[in-house]
Amino acid sequence: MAARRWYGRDRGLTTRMTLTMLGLGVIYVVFISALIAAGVSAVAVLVIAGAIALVQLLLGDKLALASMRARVTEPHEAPELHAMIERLCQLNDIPKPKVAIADTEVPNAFAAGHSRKSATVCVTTGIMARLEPRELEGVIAHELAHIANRDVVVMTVAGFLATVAGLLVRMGVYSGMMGGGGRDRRDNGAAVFLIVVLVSIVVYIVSFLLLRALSRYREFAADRGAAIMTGAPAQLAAALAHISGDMARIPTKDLRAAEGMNAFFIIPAVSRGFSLSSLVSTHPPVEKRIERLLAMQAQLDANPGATL
Amino acid sequence: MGLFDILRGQRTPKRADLDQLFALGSAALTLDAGLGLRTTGRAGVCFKSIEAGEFERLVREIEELLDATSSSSGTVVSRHDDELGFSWVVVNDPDMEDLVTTTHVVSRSLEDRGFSERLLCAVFGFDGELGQVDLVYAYKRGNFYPFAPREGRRRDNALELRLKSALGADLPIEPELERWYPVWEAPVGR
Repeated sequence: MAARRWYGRDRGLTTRMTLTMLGLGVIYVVFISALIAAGVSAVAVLVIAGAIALVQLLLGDKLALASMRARVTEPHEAPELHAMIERLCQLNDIPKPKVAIADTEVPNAFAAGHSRKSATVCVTTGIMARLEPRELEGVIAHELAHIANRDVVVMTVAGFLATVAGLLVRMGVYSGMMGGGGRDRRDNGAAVFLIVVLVSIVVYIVSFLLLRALSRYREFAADRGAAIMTGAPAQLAAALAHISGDMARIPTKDLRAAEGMNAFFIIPAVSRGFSLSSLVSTHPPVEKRIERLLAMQAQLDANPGATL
Repeated sequence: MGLFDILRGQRTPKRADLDQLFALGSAALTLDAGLGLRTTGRAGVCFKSIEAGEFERLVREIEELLDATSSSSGTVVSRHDDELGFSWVVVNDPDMEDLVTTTHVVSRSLEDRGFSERLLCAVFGFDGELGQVDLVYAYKRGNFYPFAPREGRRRDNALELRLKSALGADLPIEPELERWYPVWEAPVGR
């Protein structure tokens, strides 16, 4: 789960960023392949990959909060926000997460933490200032749905499994190549290495796209969870429309402050669909999310007790 | 929540065990005898707001039900919206047993209308020498916890813990203290 970085709504730049990310991934693949080719055991590589996933799980929330300069608050500092969150937690049947506030104009919210017990919900001062209480409630319900659905763990484990899958493919190709043929191995070494790297890169790209698709699906699931909890999907839809409209008008300086956090955000700091980014983005396009939320609202309007 | 639910990113809704509300009868006797706390004659069912017209219909339906079952005569139900965006059906009746029965009816009709996911809690008001104490039934957890609100958004935790030990035999009490969520300004005081 590498974090994406956006610098603004520049299409060429987006393409470059995506390629850069893929490139970084490719370098990592080559590195692992080289390790294996050099005779480092697959077990050691697995342990390293596992350790990275574990560190992500255990420190991810602290890193996220630190990079946003968010401060964990006590109930008396923001009584309305805490009261709102307490009730939504009771409805969701999850323990109350820590509540953090980040002092920035960027209107956003995210949930972090590796378990329901140690979760944190963070909202920015920008989002609190811009949204009506009911709209904010929709946004927070969305974040709590992420916690209830254990999305941080799901995504981290999925990332780790993708690594393992890639590793297994590499091992398979490598041992297959080395095992057969009976020719002199030293001549074969470079060719084998090249094939292993190529196969690995393909596997990496496929798993990268699958992970992004999974992440988008979890967003829809969290939207639906919020709709069920609040019974007011239109409020979340309105909030998304507000935020995404505001997002486009905020100076780049503030967007930079939000770099690298997109994977956690309710709306990435840029929300315009283009073909490449729709494949690699962690969030579905806002228009699609609003459309689905309003469809749920129509269901509820027709029958208030409808199961969404 | 099973592994399958986690993978789907959805939860299978739990239906509350409403029959546990009836345990409040003996709990009320215990509170009276042990701590001198008596019902305020008011209880409330709190749920995430529903559309106003729907709410009206619900309350009217409950009133009709009550009229039909004359057993709980003298019971008055009213509606209340709080500033957190939640709705209340408030039940007024000096008799504890009628209070519990009506609360059960209200919860059941909300569930039957498909609102079980949005039921938050039922709150029963008590007071006495020791001050006000509410007993909160959390639908999603299927258990009770005490809540003693005091001036300035503080709570009397010592009294709440005393209630926990006093009521342990009568009621299923929420074991995790961090789930004893406050319900400020519940419309169940005298």
